[in-house]
Amino acid sequence: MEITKLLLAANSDYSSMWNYRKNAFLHLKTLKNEDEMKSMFDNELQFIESCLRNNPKSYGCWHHRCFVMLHMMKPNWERELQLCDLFLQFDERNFHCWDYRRFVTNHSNVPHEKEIEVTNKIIASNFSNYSSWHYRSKLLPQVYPDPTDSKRIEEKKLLEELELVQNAFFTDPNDQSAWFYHRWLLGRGDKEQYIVSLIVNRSPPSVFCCLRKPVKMFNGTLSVDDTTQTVDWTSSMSERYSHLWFCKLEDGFKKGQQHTVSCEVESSKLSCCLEENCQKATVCLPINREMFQDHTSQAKLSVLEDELNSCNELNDLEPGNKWVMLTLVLLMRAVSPKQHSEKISTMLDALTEIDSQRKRYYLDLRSKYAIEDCIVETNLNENRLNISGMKLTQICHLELVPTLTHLNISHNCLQNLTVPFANLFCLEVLEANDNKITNISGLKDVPNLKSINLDSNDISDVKQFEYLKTCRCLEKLSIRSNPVCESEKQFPTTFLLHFQ
Amino acid sequence: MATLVKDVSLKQEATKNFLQQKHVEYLSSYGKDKNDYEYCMTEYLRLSGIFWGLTALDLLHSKNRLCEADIVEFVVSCQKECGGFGPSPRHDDSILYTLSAIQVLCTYDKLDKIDVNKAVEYIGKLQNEDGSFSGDKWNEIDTRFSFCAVASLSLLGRLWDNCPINHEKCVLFILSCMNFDGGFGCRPCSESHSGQIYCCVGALAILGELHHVDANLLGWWLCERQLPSGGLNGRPEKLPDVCYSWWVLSTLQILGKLNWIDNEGLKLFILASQDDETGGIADRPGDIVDPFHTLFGIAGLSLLGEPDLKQVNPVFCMSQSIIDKLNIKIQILPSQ
Repeated sequence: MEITKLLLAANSDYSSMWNYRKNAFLHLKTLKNEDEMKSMFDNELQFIESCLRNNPKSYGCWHHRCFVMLHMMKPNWERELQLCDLFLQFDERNFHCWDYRRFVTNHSNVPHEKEIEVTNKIIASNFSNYSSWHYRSKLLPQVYPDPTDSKRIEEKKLLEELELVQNAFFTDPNDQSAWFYHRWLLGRGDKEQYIVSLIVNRSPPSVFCCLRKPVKMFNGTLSVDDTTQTVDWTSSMSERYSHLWFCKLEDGFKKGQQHTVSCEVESSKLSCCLEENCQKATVCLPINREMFQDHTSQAKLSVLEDELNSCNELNDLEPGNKWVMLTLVLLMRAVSPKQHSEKISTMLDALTEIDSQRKRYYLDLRSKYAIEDCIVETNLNENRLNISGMKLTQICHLELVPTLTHLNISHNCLQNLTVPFANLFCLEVLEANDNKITNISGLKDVPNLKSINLDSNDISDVKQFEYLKTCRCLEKLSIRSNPVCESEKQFPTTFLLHFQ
Repeated sequence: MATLVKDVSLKQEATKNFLQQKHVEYLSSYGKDKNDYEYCMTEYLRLSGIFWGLTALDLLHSKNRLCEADIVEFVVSCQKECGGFGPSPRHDDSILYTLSAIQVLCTYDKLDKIDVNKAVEYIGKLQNEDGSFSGDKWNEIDTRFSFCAVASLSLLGRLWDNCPINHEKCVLFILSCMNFDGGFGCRPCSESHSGQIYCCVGALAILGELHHVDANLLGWWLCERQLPSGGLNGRPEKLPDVCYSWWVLSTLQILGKLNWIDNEGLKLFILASQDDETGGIADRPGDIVDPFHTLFGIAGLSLLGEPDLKQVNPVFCMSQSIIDKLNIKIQILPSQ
């Protein structure tokens, strides 16, 4: 035991030596009486403490301490809490110590309220302490749960927290801890699952169902004219999780008759009417802004407006602060995207300059907003979406528009078409000209795609067109003014057939 | 009370070239002197050390600078009766070194030299009822071990067929470690940390379960790890460190958000952390180099497209060519 002690004193990461001591203690426990063991364990705790002082981030030390505490007959948890206080004074961000603290509080049933008090004290002495804000995000939902979402906190407490965190960022607007916490406070829980659209084919009798969130197995209830059907849903995608599900209908539809097909999953239901003389029917859930509110929207409008006012005030005091500006963007987006659209755009432009390291983050955010605005304002039952000329750097939300037949993404700043377009299984025409596209791997397996315009892009590798082989309906491909055209001789002739 | 940004500044004269040949020399001579104090003191992690050195050399197209036969013999000698590997022959087994051993053997295409079934069985036994993994029989629990388990089984070709672990529970445990910022910690309630995030996101990528991750929220937190110097830190308010060029950058790559940070700035930070005399890369400019930071610096540069390096796989931290040869398919979100 003395030798391993020497070794561990020199290098506390030597885990085999800690294991050796664990084995020894387990053996000694069978030989020694309670008092003898108590004094040995106490000595061990002291030894571990001396090792921790040299190496406060040693995984092995902290774990060995847990081992000792769990094997003591009457562990003194109070003393351990004091040890944590001490080590957190040395380094308030030591995550090993925070984790050990949670181990101690769990085993000694320290009430969460008391731990919230501890974080209050630390935050009062220094706002900038990410570990404490983190701990609050875990404690508060347990003590003050939101009745509708157990991961979040009730309204009254939320308002108090907002005030606390506001104090923090008014004191130091560059303190990122407070801003991350603020974003969480105003966020919301998981998105609900719902059915985005249904597509019904009379012959062969079948249904496609598109979901907001991808799932591994789909067991939505399908009914025809209010009679529940037994169906096998299969995913049409090669991914393990899919937005898009397909089933055949055993009994089929009666010729020349009108049918109503409904699908239900969780609390979402969508119905589609197949008219008597139609072969196919499609229905899309009308898309409203609510569906895009992923962050900064849990709170009531009045709360958000108050936050917006405070941040505007701070922006006047500290013009050009990126944290304030981004928060303003998120809040304006949550309160009234239409009213603030110009200001949001100006601020995001400014952010790309002020915080140029993260330029692309802001550009992608702007692209996302632009696409959302367009989707909300488009009547999707016409199955066309035009998002051209918006300086887009990314394409998103395609899973929400599965019934599109025409999509125009031309005249943007897109570099890659890598997001899967295969969910767009009705898509016939894609206009993607006048971008900076080099990669089109996302255009695999788009089953009904007939025409693609890729003029004036940056495609230089002929292999890119291999992806299009899987688009079986493709009739027309236009690729004028791409670097690849300069070496046209290399092309496989199959592609030449389609050249314009 | 303005917080001072913790950061370093790069010197004007800091090297801006990638010192490929110097790194090869540094790595291939490391550990030649078996009596060196530093070398002896790192015996407790030898197997991981070998993985760092070998993989860095492999990415540098210089795998042949180490003696394959010696290394394979050493790795084989580290396998214990239980099937797991210790860092050195007389040390205890741990899932950490089990992964390192498997990575080294895959690099040499020598998995046939060990008892694969026993290793698989060992990993399977370390899974707990709640889906978490212990590091060894002493029951320390950490999401790092979840990654080691999933990555090891995947490399052994036993993640899907004949797999001893419960995938669903494994995923649920990882998700129970998710935090308010979209990141992950060691255990439920632990603070987010980039190394831990890499492990959790990496495991989810191997298991094809990335849709559980809020890529926009986590991507934002990760890109905020970049400091004015160009270097990345692992948590808010911390100093930059070259190893986070790997943990943060590879996660961003898995999430398809590599371009959310200033790639050129990070490249200059890594290059400035090279020792232009001895070769090797340190945690930050001016510090002493070691194989750990050398590998993660080089792997980071590979992700950033350094032409003199082989392409690295963002999840396994091994040459992509090895992963392709093993026919391992992982989920990577599209980068636009």
